Amino acid sequence: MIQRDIIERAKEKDEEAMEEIYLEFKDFVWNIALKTAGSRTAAEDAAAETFIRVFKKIGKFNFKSSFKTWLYRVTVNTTLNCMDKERRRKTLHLNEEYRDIQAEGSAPQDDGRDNEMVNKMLDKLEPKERIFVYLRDIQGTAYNEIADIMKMNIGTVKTNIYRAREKLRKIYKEEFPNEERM
Amino acid sequence: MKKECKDFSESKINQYIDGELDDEKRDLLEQHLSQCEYCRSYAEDLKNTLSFISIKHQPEVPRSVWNKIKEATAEKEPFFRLVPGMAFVSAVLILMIIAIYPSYISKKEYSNGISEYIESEISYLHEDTLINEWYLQEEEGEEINIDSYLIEEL
Repeated sequence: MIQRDIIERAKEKDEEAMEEIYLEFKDFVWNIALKTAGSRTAAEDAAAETFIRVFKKIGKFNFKSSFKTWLYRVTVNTTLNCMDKERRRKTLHLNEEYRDIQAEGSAPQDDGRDNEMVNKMLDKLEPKERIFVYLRDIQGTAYNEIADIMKMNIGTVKTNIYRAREKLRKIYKEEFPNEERM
Repeated sequence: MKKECKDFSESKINQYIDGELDDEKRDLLEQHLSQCEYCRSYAEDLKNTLSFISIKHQPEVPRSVWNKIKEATAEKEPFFRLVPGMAFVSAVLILMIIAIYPSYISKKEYSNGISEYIESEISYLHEDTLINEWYLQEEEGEEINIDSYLIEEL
């Protein structure tokens, strides 16, 4: 958990404090970006843009909510915005998109068959659905915190997550039709 | 094919997997799952799916992300922060000068032009009166002196 004095120093543009915040949250931000972006390049831009916005807006952070929730919210909004831009860019450059996907694969990193499969499954969800699933089922974020991040009520969050899970369940059954059941 | 269950509740099974059901509701559901193949199969599929995707792999964050952040958030030198402002003020002053100067110039030129025009017309008309072959017709025998007539008119 990030200390208050680090946030206060980051507000004063203290580089060390900014780096501490980056180190604390880089994995979360990178995972969200990677799982929602269409390519590794887009994920890098989304992740960098997220932190740039955090450091630009940190002066306005008033400790009314937890810093983690606030940063998660900026991450989600920035990533979805970057996704929209990327989608608009790719509708104009369809060949580039094809080459991008072929080069990067839907799995940005090539380690482990399982991770590749997970990414392939998540790719079949809508970007927002991926974020819900990532927050709840991969990151283990509490429902009320997700509601805070997404600015929705808990009921809506749960409905969205259950829907995304159902989609994943069907995809999983297609991929592993011979999975043994108890 | 498993027969669908009339008591099937997607929401309840999700809450069960999330550990959100109180003891009483959990016990009831577990009892149902032990007897209903459809709901049990659904619950198992969902558990396996969520276990599979929650593999705790942390892909390495590329260095380029931090480099981009540093570049974007680097503090500019104070002088370079002033330059954009100075450039703006200079541009506004230049535009103002460009806007005002022509009208100042043309006003002067205009008034000079008018004077010159009037002078040239006066001298033209004056020359005209001095042409010897141009006379007014006599009225009642009087010969009118054109020189003095035209100059007086001017």
